[in-house]
Amino acid sequence: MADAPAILECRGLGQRYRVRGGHQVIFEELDFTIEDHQFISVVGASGCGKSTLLRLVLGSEQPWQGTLRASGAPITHPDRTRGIVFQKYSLFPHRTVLENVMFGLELSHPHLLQKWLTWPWYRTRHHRRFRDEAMAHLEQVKLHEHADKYPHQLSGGMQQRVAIAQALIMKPRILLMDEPFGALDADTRESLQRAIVRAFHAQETTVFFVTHDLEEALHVGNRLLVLAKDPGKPAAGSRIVIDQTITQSAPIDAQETQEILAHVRRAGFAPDAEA
Amino acid sequence: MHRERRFRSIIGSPLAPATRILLGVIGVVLVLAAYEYYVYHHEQIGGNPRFSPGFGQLWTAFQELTEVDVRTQTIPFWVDTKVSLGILAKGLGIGILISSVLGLLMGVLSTVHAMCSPVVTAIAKVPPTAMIALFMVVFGVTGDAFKVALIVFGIAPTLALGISLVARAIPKNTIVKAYSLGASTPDVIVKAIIPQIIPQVVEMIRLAVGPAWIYLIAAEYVNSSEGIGHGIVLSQRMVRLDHILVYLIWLAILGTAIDFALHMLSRLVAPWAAARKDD
Repeated sequence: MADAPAILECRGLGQRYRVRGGHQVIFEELDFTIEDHQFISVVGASGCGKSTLLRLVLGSEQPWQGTLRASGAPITHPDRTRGIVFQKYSLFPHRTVLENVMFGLELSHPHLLQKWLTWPWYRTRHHRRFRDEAMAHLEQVKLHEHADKYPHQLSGGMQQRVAIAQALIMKPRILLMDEPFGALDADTRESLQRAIVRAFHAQETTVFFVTHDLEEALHVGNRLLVLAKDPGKPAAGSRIVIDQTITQSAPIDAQETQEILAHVRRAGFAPDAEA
Repeated sequence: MHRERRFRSIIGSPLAPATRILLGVIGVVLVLAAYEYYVYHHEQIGGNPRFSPGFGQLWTAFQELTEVDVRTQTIPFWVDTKVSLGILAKGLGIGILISSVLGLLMGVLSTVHAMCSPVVTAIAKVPPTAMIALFMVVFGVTGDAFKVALIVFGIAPTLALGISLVARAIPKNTIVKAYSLGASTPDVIVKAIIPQIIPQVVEMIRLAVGPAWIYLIAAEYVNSSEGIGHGIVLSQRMVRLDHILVYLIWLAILGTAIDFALHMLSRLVAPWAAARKDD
């Protein structure tokens, strides 16, 4: 087949960590392929390895088993093709909101030395363009009025909006999100869920969204990936127990949603049973 | 009128700026009054006035100290100040330079940290004043080199360890984030790590100025022909308590000025950190 390689291809992926007296397998034998313009919700109980999976996709960690390819190339380190929004510390405290959003653009352009050598020219030509582009992205997340504030002057929800704009301005092939709304109150969380779905459609990007909240996962994603351990074999790692397409932004009381919820719970993931 | 009764703990409760300044002034006045009382009391019991110079005497002493020396045609007090500040600046400059580079490398590279941290920690444990003998042998008894070396060895190890700690405490997420935005490793160090640690580093430098003065004065006590420490030793030999006090007051003024300047510098280079502390 002459198709372009998938955004993300994961074959027999496993990860384990060294613990006292041996190794603990986090997950093993993960197989999935992510196509363009999918919004993948990865959900699982605490400790199932969903954040580990995200770090592997990001490239800040290397797998124990299996292969992970982004657009055909093995992932060796984080780079600008994969954006990331963490739950915390996504922003640089020493940069204003605008400078945070501009950061990636500044990095992708002339190198330090070249920048210094051509400073006045560089500043007028590129800086203004970066500014305008960053402002446009800030307007999309409705934060253009806060452009000159520092991150600590914003609420948690606003900070996450900036983090999203900061990642999206680089037009990553895939945007990774690690429990991005986990520390926010219910209202803010809901409005940000709507915002990220909107951005997903507007930018035609691909999103890899990790959460422990099943309802959130069902709400934002158009594909659901559930990681769970086999309750009979606690020593074994998690596996993918469900991988199916879902309707994005379906109301929580819709029949389809309720069926999936029931299905997920039968498959072994029971948020209610969580510690 | 009904007055709101609200629980307010005295612990850390904020003050109006005017109250704060007023209390600060009262503190100074109290100390001066206590000293004046000591002078008065000493006089009453018929003590030697050499050991209880009043404020008038101190002013006279200051004028004596700032008289032009007929032999050298210079004012020893200002020469002492200039010499001491010069050595202090050299010692601090070299010490900060070494510790910044070493601390940053230790903070960023685990290999450098593993290799240097034990030895730097051990050196930091040697009381610097105990090294005076060593530096006098190595750098010579005369001249400034041994004093500069004492300041450098006195402040650099602690400062380097502090900087490495601060650099290591930066959330890993911000580093990963920088890479994901396309940063190279030098970019990450220059644009993500260094700017984030600068306010804390300036704060540590502020704290290091105090010890630097200690080592400078100690070295000048041991051997010098100029400098504030030398001036104090001379005054002591001549049993001029008034002169000693003038030097000490001058040291307090210089130290406060340097501290304030560094504080302002910190606000200038990292306005975001000052604002963050306020809320």
